[in-house]
Amino acid sequence: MSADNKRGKNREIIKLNVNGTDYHVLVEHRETLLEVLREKLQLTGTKDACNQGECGACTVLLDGRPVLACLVLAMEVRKKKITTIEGLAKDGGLTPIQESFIKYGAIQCGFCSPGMILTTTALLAENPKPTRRQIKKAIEGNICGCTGYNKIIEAIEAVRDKNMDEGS
Amino acid sequence: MRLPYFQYHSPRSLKAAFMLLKKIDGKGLIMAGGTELLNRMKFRLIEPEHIISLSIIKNLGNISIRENQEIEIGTMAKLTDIAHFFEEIKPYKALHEAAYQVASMQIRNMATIGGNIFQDTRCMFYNRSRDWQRVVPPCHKRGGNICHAIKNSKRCLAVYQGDMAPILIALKAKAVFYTPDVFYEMPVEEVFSGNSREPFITGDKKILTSINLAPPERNLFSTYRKYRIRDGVDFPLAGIAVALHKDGDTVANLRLCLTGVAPQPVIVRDVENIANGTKLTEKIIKEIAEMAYNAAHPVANLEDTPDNRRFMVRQIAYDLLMEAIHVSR
Repeated sequence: MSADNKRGKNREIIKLNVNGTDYHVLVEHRETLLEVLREKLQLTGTKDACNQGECGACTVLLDGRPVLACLVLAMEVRKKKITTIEGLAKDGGLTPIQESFIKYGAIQCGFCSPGMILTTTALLAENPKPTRRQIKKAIEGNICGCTGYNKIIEAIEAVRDKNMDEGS
Repeated sequence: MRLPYFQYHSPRSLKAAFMLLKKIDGKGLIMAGGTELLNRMKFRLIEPEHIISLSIIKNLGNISIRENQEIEIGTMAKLTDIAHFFEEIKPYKALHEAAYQVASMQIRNMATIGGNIFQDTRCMFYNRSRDWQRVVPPCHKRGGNICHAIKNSKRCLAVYQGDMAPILIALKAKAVFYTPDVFYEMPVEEVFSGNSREPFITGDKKILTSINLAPPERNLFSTYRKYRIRDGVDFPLAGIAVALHKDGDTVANLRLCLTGVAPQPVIVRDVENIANGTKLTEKIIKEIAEMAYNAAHPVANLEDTPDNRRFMVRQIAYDLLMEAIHVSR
């Protein structure tokens, strides 16, 4: 490996827009968005679990679309709007999806919840009336070891049904 | 797991990307979506000194219909967008099915068609943690000279598990490459070398810019299905793509392509001799499914046994073709 590539050489100050706030952060080229969020911005709601793109615990929204923060370089998201679980609640009030997750017991240990809730947020923003099948398909990339998924699906369906009542 | 140290580049044009690739001369790699590349880097299976990201080059992520009705899929088009785009284009429904079945929603939002085609071959003795790599002697793919899947094998047997390439091959799609002098195209099947260690023949001094598809024809039917343990996230343990041209009631042309059973996508040879001009009865379909079975040569290096995977090739081929004659009628 060339000397240039050694520790400390490949660093840059970049601007990241996280939850509506601009941050200027010094990042190494090799750092993933997950590392920057957790270690530099102290936004530890985004969880670090498998770190290889299989579990969905590190899900964040990039311009509204769920992606895995462990497989995105921080350098790649300079012009994007990043939303983490910390950015959902407004003025101390939880979103209907978060409320529903609590009400239906869809949160147990809570490790998958940030990713699960962000995936659901993106799903319902794109398709407010998903079928059970579409819900299952959407959360296929979020692994939960506690709930057995049924309570999570029930929580999402409750939000959907409420959407439907309001829509009709 | 942290990534190894590297220098990140994000050129603004194809020309700049090409010049950079030339300058770093084999010490760097092109990154599209990064979902597969970064994983391999985390496992230290590769440690490039430079990463050239194509993410800010304009128009590479577009999917468009040209004046002559050809469809052009930019190399950086996200799988989510591909799944959406082809949902309503009936003849190319298989592209929707294949893209929609890749990994998870999060990964489909990041992964691109270019990256999906150029994903490395995989093996359960190769895609392993660094701890594993420390205690197990290196195999062919890691620069050694043994194979853990089949003892005494003189060559690497890692498997190509891409979902998009087989259907693109069945549909006779063209891959368009950029060099500063000329854009040139070649059939997608020709980018594969058949060698598990170096699965692609393109070398590193060309950049895939788009995949071109012929104008959709009304009499074309295509479909893709894959076998895997879990119904989400998993790579295909066997996958089959079918492209069926009909001429009224009879078959004008049939192409089958397999994935997950060899170091490259496998075209099932000679099916057209049996199918073309016939009405594709159940007897013929059984014969074709048998040919697919014979064309697949999986070895014991993925999560399921070779026998099961081969059996599933025959079964899925049968199912897809039976459905095809009903749907395309």
